[in-house]
Amino acid sequence: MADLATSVGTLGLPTPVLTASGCAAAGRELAPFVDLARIGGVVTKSIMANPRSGRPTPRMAETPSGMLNSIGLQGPGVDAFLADDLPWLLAQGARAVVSVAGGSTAEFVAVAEKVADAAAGSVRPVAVEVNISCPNVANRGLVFACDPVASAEVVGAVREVLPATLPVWAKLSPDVTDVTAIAAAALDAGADALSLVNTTLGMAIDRATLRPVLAGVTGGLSGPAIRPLAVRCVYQVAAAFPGVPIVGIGGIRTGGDALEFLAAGASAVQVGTAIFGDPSAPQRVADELSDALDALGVARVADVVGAAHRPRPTQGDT
Amino acid sequence: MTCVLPVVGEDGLTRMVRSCVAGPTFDGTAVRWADVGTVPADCVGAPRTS
Repeated sequence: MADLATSVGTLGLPTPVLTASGCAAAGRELAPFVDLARIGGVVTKSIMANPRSGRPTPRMAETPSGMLNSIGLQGPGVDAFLADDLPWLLAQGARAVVSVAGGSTAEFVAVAEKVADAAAGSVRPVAVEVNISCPNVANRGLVFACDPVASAEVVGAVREVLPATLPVWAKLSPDVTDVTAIAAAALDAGADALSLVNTTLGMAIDRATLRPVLAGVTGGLSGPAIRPLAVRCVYQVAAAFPGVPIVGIGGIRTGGDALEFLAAGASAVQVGTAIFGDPSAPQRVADELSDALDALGVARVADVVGAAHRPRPTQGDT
Repeated sequence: MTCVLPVVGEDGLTRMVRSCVAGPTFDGTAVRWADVGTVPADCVGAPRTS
């Protein structure tokens, strides 16, 4: 049986399969289906400074091989999250990655400072993921992740207020011309790892009413429909920045899907949309990945990370 | 309707509650039926208009 242990920078994980932010809240609703301590980790839903009700409904729409969501970052606010949700998750033995979000750099910093205060005590996540796919209120709602300067400003500001021992993962958007330019900005600003990728912006029209299906008009497209796009981003960033830790995200439904991301250069992956149809998916995907590695005769996850970048064997090589 | 409904809690505050997780059965009198499909302005965390 293959050894699934992996690492994202300095962070060791027993398996490379985590939950993706926004698909399992703070883990409580997954607990009846998977052992939260056994999976690689739980990335919490992005937390903001204040409670948020989210957007009006409909918020989700099924699309071919995927789904659209326009939730609007509903959440309890960072104070309630740190008082109730995160302690519960840590008490389950889970490795918690706290996703932070904001409508301004100041809000990102305010949230990160409170996470840092909690981490100084006993409420300590294993990493912080910075969700920079949020509209920047101060810049006409332009998403931070679409602008290298804004991306660097947010990532650098969050990095500065967190202890050096707490890794910062920057979660990038695929909705850019050159994802490596945003990756470079995030890394220069101090990101310890990159999470690739967030949803891509999409839209669906109701064919009877001829109106947008989502109340928010546009939404984030996720699921298997975006997997090739996500694999491409991981591959490009891994090629541009060899050795930089990458967490692959985007339409992972099976162990074989996870294997693609590892070969493209990710050392861990996150499962998101698949959870809605199969809440056991984070564990099942890890089990299937183990089988896939066995079938290849590979003993360790590390042996396939970045395999797609290796030169093709020439004729006559064994 | 999709997943969330405006539901009045025991503290008297309205929250957008996920019917898939917190339900699917609610006390019908706690659901603000007339506001389903919207986020009532007095909902916890509702977007500020100003």
